[in-house]
Amino acid sequence: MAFYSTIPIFFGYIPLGIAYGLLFKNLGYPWIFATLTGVFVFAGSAQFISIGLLANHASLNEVFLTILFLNLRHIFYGFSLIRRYQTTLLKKLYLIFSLTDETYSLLTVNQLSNKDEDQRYCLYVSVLNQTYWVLGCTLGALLGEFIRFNTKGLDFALTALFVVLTVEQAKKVRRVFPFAIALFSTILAILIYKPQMLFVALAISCTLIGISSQWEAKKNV
Amino acid sequence: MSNTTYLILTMLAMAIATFITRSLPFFALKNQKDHPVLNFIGMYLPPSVMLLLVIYCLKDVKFLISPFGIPEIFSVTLVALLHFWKRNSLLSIGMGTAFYMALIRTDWL
Repeated sequence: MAFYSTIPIFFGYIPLGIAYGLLFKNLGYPWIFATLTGVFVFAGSAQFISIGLLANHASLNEVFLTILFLNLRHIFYGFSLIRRYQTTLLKKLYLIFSLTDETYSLLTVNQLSNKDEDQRYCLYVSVLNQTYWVLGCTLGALLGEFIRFNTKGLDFALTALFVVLTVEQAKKVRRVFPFAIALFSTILAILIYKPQMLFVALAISCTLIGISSQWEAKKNV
Repeated sequence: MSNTTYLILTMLAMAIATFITRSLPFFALKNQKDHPVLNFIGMYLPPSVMLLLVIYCLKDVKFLISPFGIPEIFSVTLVALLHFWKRNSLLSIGMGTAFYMALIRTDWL
């Protein structure tokens, strides 16, 4: 059951992992670090964005803040899983550590009625997904080690991933204002401080959405 | 700081930042999961962030000199349309990336 449900993720993680591994190898670091990043970080979009950060020798503060904001969405994944993840501490820590976009979307679609079985299911799905991801990263980095591959344009996979996630969100929320806020925040961020535009834009977006919640609440009274 | 040290510290920063975002609701917000403002932000911040990230990825595209960002505009449109239509992530990302890689290597643009 766990294996069958992760098959689509297998087909997503292996090619994306390979793309990451190839791009990572292009930075000139040993391949093993691509594997280690998959093992210890296990965050697709964060790993992709780190390629650019590493290439620019970004400061550790910048890396930390960028990844923090990039993965901010994960904060909201946990809410719906608090009750399902009530298990032994070690298992719980691993389940939380491995809660990627894909694992989250799979687990929220499939839930088993038996609590023990469900927890085992969550754990198997998480382990399988991370295995696929680490495998992909390693394959890509090894491939980059042994053959010369022209990766020009491969980094578009990250842009494409975010476009896909944007479309998924649009289908889910069916509202225009979060996207309007994003556009407005970007323009403002470029005007205010372009070198840190992602950080500034995220802060403005978060504030504006907080404000619009008050507005929406008044409208519904 | 040697290159390897820098890489390891960067990985560490990434691992910590990622774990913080994933674990926060389990440890800090346990009792506030029904707060209306938090729920609202939880619902509408992710779509906003995703679009911001798309724009961020395109920030170095030069729209005023040849090829005027045409490969990016075409490929992003292709990915979005494919995904609205088929909703298959691998198909959308794979086709979009292959299309983009082909576009920037041709001399037509």
